[in-house]
Amino acid sequence: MSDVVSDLRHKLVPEDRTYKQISEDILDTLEEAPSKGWLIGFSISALLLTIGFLTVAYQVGTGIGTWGLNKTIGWSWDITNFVFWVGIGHAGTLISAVLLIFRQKWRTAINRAAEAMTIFAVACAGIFPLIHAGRPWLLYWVFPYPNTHGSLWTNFRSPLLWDVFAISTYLTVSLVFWYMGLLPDLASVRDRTKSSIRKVIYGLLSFGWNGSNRTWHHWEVMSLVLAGLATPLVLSVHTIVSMDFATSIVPGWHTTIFPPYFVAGAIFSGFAMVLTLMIVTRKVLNWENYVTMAHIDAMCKVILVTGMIVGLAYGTEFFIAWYSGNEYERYCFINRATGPYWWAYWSMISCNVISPQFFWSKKMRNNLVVVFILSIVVNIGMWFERFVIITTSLHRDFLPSSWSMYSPTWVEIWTFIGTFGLFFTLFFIFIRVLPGIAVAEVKSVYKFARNDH
Amino acid sequence: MSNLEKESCGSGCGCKPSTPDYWQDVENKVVSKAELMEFPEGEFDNFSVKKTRRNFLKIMGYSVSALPLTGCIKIPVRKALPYTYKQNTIIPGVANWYASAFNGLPVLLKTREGRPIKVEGNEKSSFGQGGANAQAQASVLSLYDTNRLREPSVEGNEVSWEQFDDSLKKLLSEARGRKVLITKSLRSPSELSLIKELSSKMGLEHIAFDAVSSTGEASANSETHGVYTLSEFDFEQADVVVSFGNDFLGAHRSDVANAKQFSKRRNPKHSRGMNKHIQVESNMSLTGSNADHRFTRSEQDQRDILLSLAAEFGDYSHMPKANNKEVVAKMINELKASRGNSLVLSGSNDKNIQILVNQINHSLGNYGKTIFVSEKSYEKLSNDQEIEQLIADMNSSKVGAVFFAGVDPVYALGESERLKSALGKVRVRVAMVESASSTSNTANFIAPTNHVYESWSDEMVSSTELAMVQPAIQPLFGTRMWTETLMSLGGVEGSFYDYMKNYWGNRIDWNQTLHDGVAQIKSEKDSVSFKLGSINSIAKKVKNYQEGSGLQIIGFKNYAIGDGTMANNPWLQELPDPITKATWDNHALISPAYAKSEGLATGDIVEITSGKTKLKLPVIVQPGVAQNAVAIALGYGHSVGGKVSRNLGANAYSLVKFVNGSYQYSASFGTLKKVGTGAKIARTQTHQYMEGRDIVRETTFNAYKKNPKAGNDKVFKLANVDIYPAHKKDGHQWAMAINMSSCTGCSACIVSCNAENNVPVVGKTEIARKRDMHWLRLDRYYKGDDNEPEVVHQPMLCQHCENAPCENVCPVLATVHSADGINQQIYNRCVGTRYCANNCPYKVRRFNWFNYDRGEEVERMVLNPDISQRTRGIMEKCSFCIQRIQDGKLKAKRERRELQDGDIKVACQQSCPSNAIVFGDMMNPETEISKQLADERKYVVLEELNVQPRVNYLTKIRNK
Repeated sequence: MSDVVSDLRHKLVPEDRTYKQISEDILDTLEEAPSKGWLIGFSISALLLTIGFLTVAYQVGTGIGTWGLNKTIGWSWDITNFVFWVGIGHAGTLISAVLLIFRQKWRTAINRAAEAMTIFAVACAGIFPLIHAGRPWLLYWVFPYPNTHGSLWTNFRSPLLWDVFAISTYLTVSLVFWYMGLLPDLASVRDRTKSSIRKVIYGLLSFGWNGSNRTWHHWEVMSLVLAGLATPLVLSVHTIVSMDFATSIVPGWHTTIFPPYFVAGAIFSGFAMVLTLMIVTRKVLNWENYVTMAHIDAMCKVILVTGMIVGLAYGTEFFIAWYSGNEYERYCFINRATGPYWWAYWSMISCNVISPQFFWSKKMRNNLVVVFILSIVVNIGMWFERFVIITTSLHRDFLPSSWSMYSPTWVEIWTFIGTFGLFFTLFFIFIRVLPGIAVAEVKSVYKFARNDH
Repeated sequence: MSNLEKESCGSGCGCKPSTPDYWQDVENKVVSKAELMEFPEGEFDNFSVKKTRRNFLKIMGYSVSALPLTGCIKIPVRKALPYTYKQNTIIPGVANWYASAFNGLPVLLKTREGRPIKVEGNEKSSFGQGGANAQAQASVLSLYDTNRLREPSVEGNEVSWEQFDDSLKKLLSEARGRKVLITKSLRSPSELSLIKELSSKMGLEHIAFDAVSSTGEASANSETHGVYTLSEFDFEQADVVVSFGNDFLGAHRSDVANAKQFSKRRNPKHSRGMNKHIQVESNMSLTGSNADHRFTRSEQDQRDILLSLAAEFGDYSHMPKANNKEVVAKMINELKASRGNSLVLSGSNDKNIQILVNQINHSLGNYGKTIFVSEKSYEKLSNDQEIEQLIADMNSSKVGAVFFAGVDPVYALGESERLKSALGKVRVRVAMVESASSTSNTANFIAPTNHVYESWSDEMVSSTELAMVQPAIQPLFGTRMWTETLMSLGGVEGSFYDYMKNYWGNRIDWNQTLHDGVAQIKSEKDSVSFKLGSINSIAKKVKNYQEGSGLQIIGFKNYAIGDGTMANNPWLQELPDPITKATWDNHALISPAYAKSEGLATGDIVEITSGKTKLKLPVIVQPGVAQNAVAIALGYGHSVGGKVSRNLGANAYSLVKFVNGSYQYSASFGTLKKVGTGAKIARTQTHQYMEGRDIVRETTFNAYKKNPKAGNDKVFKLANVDIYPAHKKDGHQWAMAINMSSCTGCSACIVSCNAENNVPVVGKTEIARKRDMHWLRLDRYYKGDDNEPEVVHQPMLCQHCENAPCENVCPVLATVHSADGINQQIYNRCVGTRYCANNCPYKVRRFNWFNYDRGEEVERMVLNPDISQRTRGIMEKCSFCIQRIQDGKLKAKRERRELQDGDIKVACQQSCPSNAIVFGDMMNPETEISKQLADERKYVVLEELNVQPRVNYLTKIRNK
């Protein structure tokens, strides 16, 4: 170890803390009574979730007709919201797995919350394919389980089936990976708490973690293995989601650029959502020392890069539509920009391509208000991207006789709001009952850029 | 079918049809749950005697074990009662067919287990040639209309038929003055004979009244030929057809017969070539949309053009206006080139205009070749003067009794207060109607009459062909045929069936005629000759016609609702108008030019004022409407009637004027004012242009003669790059070809498909949300100038692609390819992801957004038992009438023979009045479909997608 620390290396935890203090900073909140702010936030989220649940119950009881879809537009808000949430659920695995493999130590402060966010977002996403089906109670038929239907099984040619596998694999691996990471911290909570009930619960949850060398060794190896498994999933999930569209023949859907374009878009929106959440959480829970401006700066850069990839994809689509000479595809793209849904298209362009350009400036990246607003703008833009792709492609396809328009009903709007309710309810519960920052991992990088040992 | 008298006694065999015992059993055999749970007497008596512990346990044991059993009992038992004695002619699962007729069209009725479920054209009829229009198809639903009146009533009190007859006879004997029976125009020999008998027995006068009158044409024939009758046509003989606003392929009259003849000449391979059709009109009609040359002209301009023709072909002189010169020159050229083989028609109800038309036809030598006028003893035609005279007589209290038989003049004269108050002065007002109507509301005696499919009657559908009307089911309700009501009043013994059989005696082979449904009475139309000398004075009257100021208001019959008699039929209400594609309403149709100048758009609400009449209607900007005109469909705006028809649209009859001895439908002028916006218009198609896409291929007859592949020479080099193995092609392989030249866009096929496949009716709100469920739709596109548009109609249904995009994407294999090349939808496997519909380039898949209401139990009797009813959350679409394919194959197998071409006819094909649809096995080179697939005109829509559709189209050819 050198005695000299390069100026280019920033401390990952700027203030000097002892390991005990780090534990206290992060874990004390679990021992305290919930704050007023938490109670208000949780109540609002739970209320939205309840309304959303009742709305879905009404829709399932009455029929898909309660939505604004029609004979021409078979999917709109449902699948838009699905892809939107799956996209958000992308950052967690990227941060925890890919950055782990690339030894990006700064990830330790945000990976726990990002992974939690991933799981909650995928849970929100999973609702839509389920309730968008005409007969959701029969949807178990999409699983290739042994049955008595004779030769009738699932259709392995259908991208929807690939979706089922991709999403469920992703959810499973993310969940296991997340829980694995939680084990040492759960043990810390168990050891610190004075409440006997908590001791029992966290004792059970921490699977008898004893902090021995062997345990730590197994844990490290397992983390790496899971990271290796999860890395291809980062690419596969959204690739396969994009194939729902890319393998169809609808102009505007049928395009080979979709897999990389969707993956970049997902990272883009995922990081934006992490930023939105972390900017608030670090403030409320006084985690500024762990989730530092350097983290925010790094995430802004990721957003800038992925935003430009997405912008390039938009341009490429247009070029190819013209270059292909396919009159339906050409019309589709001209219609996106100038047709009745022009406002959705230009919302998408301004949110996703123009707004991230502010992040070229370090001043902007370090201005929390700007970053917070832009992170939300990016997510609005990404929602519009999916809406533009799905709805404007469907509403005017091959035969003009069937062209039509779509507008959502209150059922669709409240279902979408309800998933935000679900997401934030889960997140609020998460920061109350589980360590929101990976304490053990932060401790492991605390010494980074410090030469006092 | 000769033993029909035994199996379906009809209402004519003397039995009293007061209570339908056929259904009574079903209704009354409702076993209550309590009844089943009661212990049979004596069975468990001892339990109640000794209340011991052991008995308590026994009873408890019994109860507990019996309780689940109650769950096994479906109570009440309503639907599936076995015939206690097997009916000779009814085999469950096998259809019985009965010949009948509907509104002048011979039809066959398909009955299953005693219920009529489908109407098809009668192929034995040389008049209808097997075609059926939308109204005939939909009539079977009207049979089960729950709004039908069920019992006779006097002064609003339900009574028995005996009481009804007694009190009516009593009051009738007190009534002084004219006793008048009002029917529709009647062409029934036996009914007319009965009325004649009654007129001598009880002094009954007979007048006819039609909601949409043809008095003008009949009066013109009366002047030119001395016979008050309507002309008959032979469109197949006409090389040139010039029509002034006559919708002869649509709502005018005998549309099926006209289309059958006309479409033969739309075939470029016809030995005499294609005919040429020139239409001049002020509103876009179905017929006009099919014309080779169509000119949008105001009513005034039409008079100008007609006068110019009259001047050319008669003793009159007239110079056309500058804007009409070209049209006139074209018509004269074409007509002169085909003297004796041409036909000039007008849709006007103005006698003078029709006289000029007759004169032109006469001097072209068309009479006896393409147009016929003959003396008909079996006909009582409406004459508008008679009803006007009747109203006058009522007002001066000269009328003692009126009998309305199936007519609704109060509605059809525009909710006429004039008629209502006149009726107030008539002592006896008898309404012999099927459902309550504006007219029946003014009656003090209501005698509900049978639906035509519960009735005996006959009808001369043309001057040579007799059609029989026979019941296919016992009367569902306590109704009685109006003829029998009259017989009982006039003291004519027996049933009308007896009367009718007696009337025909030996003149026809009774059993054979009933079996066939039709009989040729005469071999030829005997014509009367043209008598009129000079047309000078008539032409002057036409020229000096008094115009009003403001917008000309044109009332027209649209294809689906017609004159409004069938407005309570949901299939017809939901049938998109062939031109506007609107359903469930009438609208103010204005020209694009007028809309632009007044700042109006589709969806605005306007108030149209003419004199004291005000109508509020939503606007549809309709290409092809004359600039200073507004066209409104008649037949809507019922204030009384069934739940379907009530409060839909506005009653445009209120704008009809009595001028020059007849009711005229474009004689009102008025103003139009915008009063609102944002009207929900339930249209199935909201984009009207093809956007330059290669969807409908068309060419001209001249180009076709040079090169049969004209207009169809686009070649796509499709690489065979399928990643999945191709389907095997052996055995039967079904395919369809649709001749775009023959197809008139009339939409009869849609109703046929609805009836055959239990396609649900979804209602106005759902259609407005673009959720129509029709498996087959007609796409209509405009081309060229919006004020002089060309129109194309394209039937669009599941294309049964070889490489079906829908099949690939379904995660649960709910849509699969059959061995005979049909793309099949497996309803009970469908989970409803709608991915298939998104991926269908033709957008022909239909999703059940809700559980659609199939109506009350009576209404559900119309459902085809061969087809399951789809519940919500399921995708459905055209199945190529797989039940018919199966039926045809089984029949051939039973008869131990090869399947022949034509054994299987799909529903749309069967009903098509222009034979535009051909279906069959494309593996057999001898079949009609194989020949059509080899035609140079054959193409498939969106060929470049390489989905390889099994539905093919033949290019549209215009003769211009």
